[in-house]
Amino acid sequence: MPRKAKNLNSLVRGSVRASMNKYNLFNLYKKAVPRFGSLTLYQQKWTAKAETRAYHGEHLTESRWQTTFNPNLSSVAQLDSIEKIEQGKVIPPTPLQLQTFAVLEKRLDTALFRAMFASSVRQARQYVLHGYVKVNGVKIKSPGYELQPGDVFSCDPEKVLEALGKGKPSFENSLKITEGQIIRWNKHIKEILNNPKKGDAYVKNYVDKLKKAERVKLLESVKSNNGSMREAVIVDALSIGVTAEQKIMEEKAAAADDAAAAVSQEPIQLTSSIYGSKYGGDEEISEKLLKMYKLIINEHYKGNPKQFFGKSHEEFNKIVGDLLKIQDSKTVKGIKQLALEITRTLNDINSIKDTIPPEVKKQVLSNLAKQRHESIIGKEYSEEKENQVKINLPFQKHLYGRQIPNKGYFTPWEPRAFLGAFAILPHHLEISFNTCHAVYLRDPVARPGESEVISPFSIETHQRAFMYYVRKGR
Amino acid sequence: MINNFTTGPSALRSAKNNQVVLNFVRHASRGKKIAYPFWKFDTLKNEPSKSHRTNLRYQMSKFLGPKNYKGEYYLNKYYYPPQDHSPNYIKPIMERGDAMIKDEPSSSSPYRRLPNEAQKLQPFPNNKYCKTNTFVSEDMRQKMFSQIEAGKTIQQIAYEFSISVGRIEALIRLNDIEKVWNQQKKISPSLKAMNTSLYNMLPLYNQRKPENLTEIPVPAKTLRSRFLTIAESEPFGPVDAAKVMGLEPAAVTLEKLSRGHDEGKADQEKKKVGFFAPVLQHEKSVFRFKDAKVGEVGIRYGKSNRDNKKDRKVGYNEIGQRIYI
Repeated sequence: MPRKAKNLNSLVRGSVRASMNKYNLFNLYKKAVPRFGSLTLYQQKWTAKAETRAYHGEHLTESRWQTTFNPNLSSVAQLDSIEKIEQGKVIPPTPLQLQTFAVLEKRLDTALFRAMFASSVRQARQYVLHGYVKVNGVKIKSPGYELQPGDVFSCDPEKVLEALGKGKPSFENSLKITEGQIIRWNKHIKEILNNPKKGDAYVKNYVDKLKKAERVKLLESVKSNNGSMREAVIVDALSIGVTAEQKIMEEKAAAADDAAAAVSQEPIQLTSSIYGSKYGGDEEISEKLLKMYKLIINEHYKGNPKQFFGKSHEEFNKIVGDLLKIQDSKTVKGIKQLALEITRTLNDINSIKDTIPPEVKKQVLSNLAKQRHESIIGKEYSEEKENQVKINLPFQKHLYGRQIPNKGYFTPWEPRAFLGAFAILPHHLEISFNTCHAVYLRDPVARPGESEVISPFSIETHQRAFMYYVRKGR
Repeated sequence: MINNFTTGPSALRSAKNNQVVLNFVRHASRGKKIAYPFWKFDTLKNEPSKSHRTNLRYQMSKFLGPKNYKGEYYLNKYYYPPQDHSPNYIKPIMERGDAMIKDEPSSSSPYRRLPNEAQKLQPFPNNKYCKTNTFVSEDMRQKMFSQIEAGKTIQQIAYEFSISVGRIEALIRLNDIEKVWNQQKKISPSLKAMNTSLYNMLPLYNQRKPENLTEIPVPAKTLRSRFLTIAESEPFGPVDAAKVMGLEPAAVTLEKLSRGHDEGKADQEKKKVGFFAPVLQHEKSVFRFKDAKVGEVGIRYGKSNRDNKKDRKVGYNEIGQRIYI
């Protein structure tokens, strides 16, 4: 049986617990460094024991803990420390006393809490007892199960999502908060429509976003063919240019009906529009691509594009790869520079500086005006018929935090409050949050300057707690 | 100042820094002190006599800060977890109760210290020996797995990335489980969101701060003094000491450790296999014989009963039930 959970997070008592509770955070935050100076030795040991036991195995009775306690603390030696000492480096002391409660870390409930599959040791214990936990694929219902190095333990993902997720608001609360969101959204629209400055900013932002989305798509499509962005751009410049030139030549040859005449023609004048379809019609980029193409063909290959006619994409990749390997060539440097500029433009959203025509602006704003949401307060909704509540905000299509109402946690999932202050990755476990599985690597050890046992207390406190438990006549 | 909340000697003792602290202590006992914050704080003033607010709750509300309409402590710097692989653990000694997000960085006081890299990884202000571990980054994991597919041994990879063999084995096992889950489409969008959130919250493994691969467990025999009489002129070094204590050379221990856990398990599985007895004429069943050890199966007559012992030995059977051994 566990100890009774009575007033665990009392601010007056101020004990630090193995829990991610917000009260516990404040108790931890306000904790003073213990001063043992004015106390007798026994008082020191007693306070240290009381403080540490409130955190380590708090749910165990004192007699259960005392039977588990092992006075032989384990640590590791580093063989390269002899070398380090010879080099004159200082080896920090091994905090052996921090291992006092290391035996508890073998317990399944503690390991679950350390792996962040539960928000407190007591919750972890509950999960084990309720059958949500498996060790090596076998359901284990004993919170005190001792893990061995190499064991894989897992917890039901739904429970982990609940433990680490934000609290799910009740139906009534969610209605209230969603109404708050609607009021703020309508107010935002009103401000944009009434204030021309804000209106302009909104339209510009809107158009920019659209363009950015297009560019991201473009970037991805370009990247998907090749590894490096710069190389991809050069390959595109060359291959599209060559195909266009070939096409024009063939057309001209067909029109003239005289092969000899076609050969003797002056060089074909390509326009930047050939790059239009793939690069989103951006003139600046198209111009640069054409310039690059001309550099490659005219400067590097002596104005002879015919050698590339009918080549496949892979062959172009190879040609460009070979081309880029050439060092100390002015032309290659120029090509590289141009490719760099194009990739920068593609990545850079700030380069969009077109003026927006007034009719577009009007259209965008009238679209925005239509997005006003009507109030949901004053209507008779009930939790049983939750799907009747229709929310159509641009950022949320459901009640606040209740996208999937039958889940026990905030949906879409968000981390719980103050999780950042409590998220500690243990050294003795390897965790996969995608599957909620973890591997127990070894019992936590102490090494020079570090202890793998996670504890909020100083080594002085642990030392005195250890002294309390190794007393004679136990 | 109203002083009708304090009772008993604890009230007198709780007067700290020349402040008279007002607090209702229902069962004030000797020797127990109220866990007030360590910094100098202001107390409640002009509270109505029936108010249930206490100074501690007041301090906590000041620490948490105001809530927004969604119920979030949006101004508290610890409320939203960090998403840049740089942990945001509490720093009470620097802040002294003021955990609000400031517009300008904390350059207002030139004496205010900023946490260094080591302190950033320290979750608890009082324990400098406790540090958070780091995630092996997604890229690095993929590199490892592709190298294993290419035929490299785990030991080689452990040496290349300076990560212990046990950890790499664990990463491989977890990756296998993830693959199966992906095939079965068991990883829900919520789980993915949680994984990314926690991955971004915690620091990443940096090969410039490698794991120490030369660690061996300190032998228990070396933790106690041992006395031996030898001649004054007799040379006595660490190798001699190891011989006296009956310890194996460190190289052997290291090699054993680097072998990992897999081999032992394979041996165990082999032992379990029994044999099928030949089926005789008119027999309806096939008999399988397993190896068993006397004492491990059944109850032996005259075996001592340990059920009145406090530390009674427990074990688990194949279906995970707890049994007494």
